[in-house]
Amino acid sequence: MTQKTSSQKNMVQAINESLRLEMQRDERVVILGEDVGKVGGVFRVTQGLWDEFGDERVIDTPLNEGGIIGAAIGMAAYGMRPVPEIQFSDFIFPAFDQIVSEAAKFRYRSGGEYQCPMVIRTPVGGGIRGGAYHSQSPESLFIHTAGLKVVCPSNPHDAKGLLASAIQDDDPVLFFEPKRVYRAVKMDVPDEAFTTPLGVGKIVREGEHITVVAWGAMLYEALSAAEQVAEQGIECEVIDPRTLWPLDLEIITQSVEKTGRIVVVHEAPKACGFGAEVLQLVTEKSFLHFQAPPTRVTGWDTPFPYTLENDYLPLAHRIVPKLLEIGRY
Amino acid sequence: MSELLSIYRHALLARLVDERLEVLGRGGRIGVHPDSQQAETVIVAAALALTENDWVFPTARDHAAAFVRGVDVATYLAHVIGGATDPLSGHANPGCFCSRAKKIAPPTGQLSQHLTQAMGLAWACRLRKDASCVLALLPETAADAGDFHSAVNFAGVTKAPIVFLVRTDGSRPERPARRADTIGSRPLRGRLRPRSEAPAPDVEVADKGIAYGVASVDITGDPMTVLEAVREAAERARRGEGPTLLEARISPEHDSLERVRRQLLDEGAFDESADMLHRREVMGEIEAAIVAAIDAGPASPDSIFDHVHAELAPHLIRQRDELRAVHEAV
Repeated sequence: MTQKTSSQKNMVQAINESLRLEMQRDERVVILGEDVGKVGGVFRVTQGLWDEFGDERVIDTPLNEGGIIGAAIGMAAYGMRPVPEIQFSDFIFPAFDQIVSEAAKFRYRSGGEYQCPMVIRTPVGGGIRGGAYHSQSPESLFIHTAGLKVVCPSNPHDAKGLLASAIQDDDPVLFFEPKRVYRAVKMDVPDEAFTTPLGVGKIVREGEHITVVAWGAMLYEALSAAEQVAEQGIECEVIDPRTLWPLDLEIITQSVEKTGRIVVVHEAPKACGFGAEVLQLVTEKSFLHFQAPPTRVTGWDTPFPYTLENDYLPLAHRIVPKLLEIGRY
Repeated sequence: MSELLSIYRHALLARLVDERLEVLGRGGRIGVHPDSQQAETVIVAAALALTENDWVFPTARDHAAAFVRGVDVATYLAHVIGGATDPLSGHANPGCFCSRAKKIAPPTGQLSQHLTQAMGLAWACRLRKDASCVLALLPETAADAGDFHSAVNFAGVTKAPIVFLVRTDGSRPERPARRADTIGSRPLRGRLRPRSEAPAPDVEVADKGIAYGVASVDITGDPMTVLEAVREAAERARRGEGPTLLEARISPEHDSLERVRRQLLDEGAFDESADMLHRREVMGEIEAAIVAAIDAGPASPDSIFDHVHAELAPHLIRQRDELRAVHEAV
């Protein structure tokens, strides 16, 4: 029996490894996108894969997001498992039509005759001085569209396991990679292939006073805020849903029925952000348990600013006062 | 059966289905069923040029191609009625029929969005060393849209085995005949657009393929010409020689179906009374299929939630139960 090994990996390395293992496991898996081949992707997430698998499995495409996703739909319809990369989730909108009008509905409008298994990988979120076109968090636009699954890992371990599950899933998955976390977090990750199930959240910190839901890069802000308010006697239970849709509602409502309080944190603007949906779903299920108004700490309802991103993002210094307010309500 | 007779039979079926469904649509019995706009013979001829291993990406107006590929009229009409016997669970608009077994892709409810998908499937064939090709059908207007350009661009880059067949208005003034040229390894019949000649201001669709390195040919809308041109382009594609953009100019002054019928009468393939009897027989089949589809009753309300994902997600189970409760209360 071979010894199971693990090693310290950042998220870029973990995703790269997951892609490599999935491509070794299943020859139907192909990567396509702008500069994913020779260059290894704008964030070097696909580095080395072109050398290992060649240009028919790691494919450089024209700069045309709608063409990339349309082509991936056709490949998926044929029976392949395309993993297109969109360089930034801000650049996903030329492909928005193909994703929401076509990929999301492919199984449905064909009555199950066709399926569209693909994983659209794309870096998401701010904090890298990227301004309006390299910082946004468009997850709720895709959650609103029936037929898509939406995943956003917060750490290298989850990124590796969730990506493998997403690639093995028979439906289109939006895989949002928090670019601020890419190289900022390192942890022990098994070297062998493993999956982390979609649709299952995780309690990252236990507490009895407030349920805090956060994902991606903002999970770390929520945890930091939770530590700060703990000094004042408020213990937060921090939940990382990991898969945003379909949502693990159960893990959140169970927590809220214990704490009576919930705060959702996300980078995306507040209006129609995913926080609104989470809070409403919890309200419908657990209303009588509330001891304080369900609340959000989010990006503002503005375009993403270039210079003032620390005022835009719901960082710990903005989360702390909200937790104190709700904890003492 | 001669190829021309086969074209006639399938095209006639499509025409008679269109005529009946137009009446049903006007009466509010079904949603709008997009008709073939009298291009049945071109659609049929193109589909006949393929082998059963090839794929078709039709538009919502191309049910004639489904008939060629062996979809029976009862199945198609069950789809249009959208009731309990609809193989697509009542999820697709009339005309947006598909069948994986018959390699008919789901038409988009938009106009050109299927073209990049068709290119992707063709590309997959090439990557998987599958010597099949893809036929993508489109109307003239779709050639203005971004997805058309994306698809032709990608096809040119990847040399995907795909034939784009655009049907255009053949009544526009003819441009002077051009010198034949080759793009790809061998000449194609029809008027091949030379690379060297810049498109005129009144850009024609076949011109648009040239810049993307795609062999681009314009042909008449005569069904036998279309059949031969698609067959040749498909063979090129299967041989790995790349994509082709075919522009079939359909003359609106003449109904092609009637022209083919006259030709077959002249050839003695059938006489007027045999043709009339055949029509009646087909109309009877159509009527029986419609009645059967309506009699099967509506689709189950539960089926709204089928095929959103491969498995029913928790939130959809909750919503299905909500709808069930509504029905139980009524």
